[in-house]
This record gives sequence, C-alpha cells and structure tokens, in this order.
Amino acid sequence: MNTLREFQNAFRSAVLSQPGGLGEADFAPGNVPFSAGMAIYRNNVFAKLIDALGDLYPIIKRLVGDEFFAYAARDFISAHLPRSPVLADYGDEFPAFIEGFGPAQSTPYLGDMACLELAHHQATHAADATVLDTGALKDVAASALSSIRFQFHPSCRLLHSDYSLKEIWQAHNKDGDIEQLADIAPGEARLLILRVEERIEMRELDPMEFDFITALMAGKILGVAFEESGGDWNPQEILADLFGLGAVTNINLSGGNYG
Amino acid sequence: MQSLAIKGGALPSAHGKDPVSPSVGIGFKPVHYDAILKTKTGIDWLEVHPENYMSPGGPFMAHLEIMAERYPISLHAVGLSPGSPDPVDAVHLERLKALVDRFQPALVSDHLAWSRESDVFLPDLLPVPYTKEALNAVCDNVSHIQDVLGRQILIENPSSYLRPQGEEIDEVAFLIALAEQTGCGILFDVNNLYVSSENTGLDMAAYLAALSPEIIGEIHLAGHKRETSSGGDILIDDHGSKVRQAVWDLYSRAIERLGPVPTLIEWDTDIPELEVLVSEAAKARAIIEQSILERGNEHAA
Repeated sequence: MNTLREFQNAFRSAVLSQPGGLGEADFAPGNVPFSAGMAIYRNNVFAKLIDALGDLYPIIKRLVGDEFFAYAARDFISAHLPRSPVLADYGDEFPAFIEGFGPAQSTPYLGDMACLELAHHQATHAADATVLDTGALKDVAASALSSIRFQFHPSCRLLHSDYSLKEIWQAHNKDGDIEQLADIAPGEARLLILRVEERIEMRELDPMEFDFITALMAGKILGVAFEESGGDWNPQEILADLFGLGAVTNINLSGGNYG
Repeated sequence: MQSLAIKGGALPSAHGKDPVSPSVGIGFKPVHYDAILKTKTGIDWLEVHPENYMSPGGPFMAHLEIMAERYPISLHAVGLSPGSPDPVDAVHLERLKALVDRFQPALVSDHLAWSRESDVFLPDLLPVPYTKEALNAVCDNVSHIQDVLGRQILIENPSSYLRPQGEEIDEVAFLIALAEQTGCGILFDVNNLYVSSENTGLDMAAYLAALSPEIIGEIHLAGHKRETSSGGDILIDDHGSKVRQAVWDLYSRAIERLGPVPTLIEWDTDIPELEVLVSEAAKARAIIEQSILERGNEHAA
C-alpha cells in the first residue's frame, strides 16, 4: 500500500484527470466500478467550483449561457485550483481569465463585467463599519477643510470601464432581458460600488468625481484630491452623496481624528 | 480516554431540558432566512457550514448572528481535512476558532475525510484509507483541532463510492479507535452508512452493533439519489431529496440502539420550502418519541 501522502497525491491527480493518478488496481472491488466512482468525486469537486463561480458571476453566466460558462469555468478551475476551503474567497482571478479566454473574444466587455461582479461580491462580504452621517462635514472648520482625509467604508470599490456596464447590470437585477442588451454600444462607465446596510449600491460618477474619489481613497487630502480632479468644478454634490450613501467612516484632521 | 463533553440530548429541545427528550435540527440555508424569522418552526437548533461564514462582515454574517439569537447553532465544518497526512491548515483553524468564540456553538464537527492535498483544496469529502498510518494522522489532527478550539468535536462517517485497496481496519473500528484516542465524538450519518453499504458492501447491522451510545453526539439524515447504469446501481449522496424510506428504517434501528441522539436534517441541492425540512425533522422527532415510549414500557414491564 502507498503511504497516505502518496495515496492522496495520486488521488488528486486522478480527480483532476492528470497523469500519475490512481487506477482500478488501487481500489478494492466493490459495487461501483472504478471509473464511475472516480467520476463521482471528480464531478463533486468541479460542480461545487463551477456553482461557486456561477454564484459569483451570474451576469457572465447569463451572457454566455450555462453550457459555455461551465466550459470556461472548467478551464479556469484547472489553472486556478482553490487554496482555501472558503469558497467565498475563490475566483478573484476569473475576470482576467475570461478577458483573455479565446472563445469569449467576441464579447470584449466580459472581463470588465466580471470585475463589476467581483466588486459586488467583495463589497457584500467586506467588513462592517460605523459610518459618518451627512452632518459630519459641517463640523469641520472651513480653514481645515482642504487638509482633511477620509476613511472609506471597507466595501467601497471604484471601477472604470470603456463599456457601459450599468445597463446590463440593472437589467439583470430587474430580471430584464439582458440578452437584448448584449450588443451594448460602447460607452464608458465610472462607478462607485459599496454596501449600504444589506444592499449593494452603485453610483455613476463623472470623470472629475471619479478622479476625485480615486485620490481620496488613495489617502490624499481633500485639497490635493480636488486639484488632481481638475479643480474647476463643484464637489458639493458628490461629497453630500458620499456621506448620504454612508461611504465615509472617519474624517482625519491634520491634528487628529473626527468622531 | 478523555471524558465526553457532549452526549446525546445535550442540545436543548423544544420539550424542555429533559436529557432524554428529542432534539431535532435542520441545516440552515440563507434562502430560508425570512421564513425562519416568520415561522414557529418547532426546530430545536440549526446547523451551518462554518466555511460559508468566514467573511469579515456583511449580510450573511449578520443573518447568522440573528439566527444564533434564536436558535443554538452547530458548526459542521467541511474544510479542516482531518484525513490529511499534514497538520490542519493553521489559517483555516484560526478562522474556525474565531467563529467558535463568537457563536459559542452547541456542537462542532467535521468529517472522516480529506479535502486538502499539499497546498490545494478540493471541495469534496475524499476517502481516507483505513490504515494504522491514517488513524495516527487523523488522531493527531483531531487532537490538535480540539486543543486549539478548546472543546470536543464530532467526526462524521463518510459516504463512500470507492474503497482503497489494502485497508487494515474497518470503518466503524477506525471511528471508535479515533474517539477512544482523542476523546472526540462521532457524528453518525445514517444516510452515509446506507449509501456506503450499497456502494461498497459495508455490513450495516455489524456497524450499528459496534456503535455505543456514549460516543455518538449527533445523527445526520439526508436524501440520496440512485443512478442506474449497466454495471448496477450507484447511490449518490446528493442531499437533494427527502430521506428515503430505507434510511428512515435504519434510523429507527439506530435510535432504538443509541437512544435519543440529537438529529439533523440536511438538504443542500434543490432546496425546497422550509416547511419540507421542518416536516422531515418532525418525522425524526416522532421516531425518537416512539422509541422513548417503548423504552419506558419495557422498563415498566
């Protein structure tokens, strides 16, 4: 008999259909033929991972169809085996994979859509945090405003795409006919994604707002973030929205913290 | 042998704290969250896979908190891989410990199986060859898990499709030795025994006769499906249907022998309405009650 380690290493190869796997002679005769028995273990492993990817990327799955999705997912799984038993942690390399997946090249925005779905997933599972309300900014002295920094809710994600992803997203979430939208006209998307209580919210941003929040999330002070976003627009609306959505958990003054 | 922290009946029951009254639970599924909040289920406790609740935050964690305020929780792990020759993944064990500390579960369990090979996790419960080498490895891992968690765990008998060549110990003896050497309890999955028996020829009567009530902390019941091929029938443990009558029959015999062991209904694929799970649990409760009644009558006679 093999050692336990040799047995499991060769069992893994058999499950993954790789060379060096266990064969019929490694198992006692039973009611289940070797190939059928190994197929059950193999199917369990792949079905669970394909389902996990399908749960994480439901829009990709709808756009390409169940059969194609399973085909792509199998390819992905073979190249990216899980390193953790926590399936919520699995599949963050899928957007890059699907973007470069040959048979999916006719739908060029799949990679970006997968990034949006991953952002949704990560926002759903991110840590909880107490947020500041809209009044918080009013308590900051006018002279200190330009040197404050914001701490953002752990669920906040920014996403930029050359494709207008939001229409497909919304159609999917309203059980709409997303197949009709599959041929979307190119149009950019700049999105702030975050969790508000138990829902995921997406706010569309214009280019200045996007650059502004990008700089703020990188830890830059308000004055610098505003400069980096062009500096000739009124950030009042986006600031009110950030607080209104609950995107900010703390304001750091140069001399200490607010709240 | 260490003393057992948990014996049958340690979980609370809807019928009071009487240790011989039935205690039945169901696997908690997020899809049933609203229904459980709105319903008087008559269920005594809920079980979840801790691997589904290891996120830093968010609604799933919040919902489990709310469930835990209403029901005792059992954490039924699938990722510790106690059957590996390597020590348990330290990161995963720490994440489990954080959940145990937070939710103070009534029961913690995993399987007599492996799912990790080197640095890769295969999300299934793969067969451990029943050898002395494997027994030592599983004992080391279970002892370590119990040391880190600071509590007893239960280990579940697997459903088998293939058995490795050259095994040295039979399954039930392996489990009993594991319990004796580590002080762990056994989670006796009646459906798994039935499936393994049909697939690999395990002797169910001998298996049941070898089990003693002191080491059984929980029973699992679930549905399986039968696939017919040219080579004969294969039973697949898919947790996707009601408990089969043959498994109910085996369960009745198990309860007769083992007493009122806390019993859980599992359902993981094609999940039905909550009331279907609740009615399966009620069926288990009725079998335990009938058994208690018969025992009482025997005593009276």
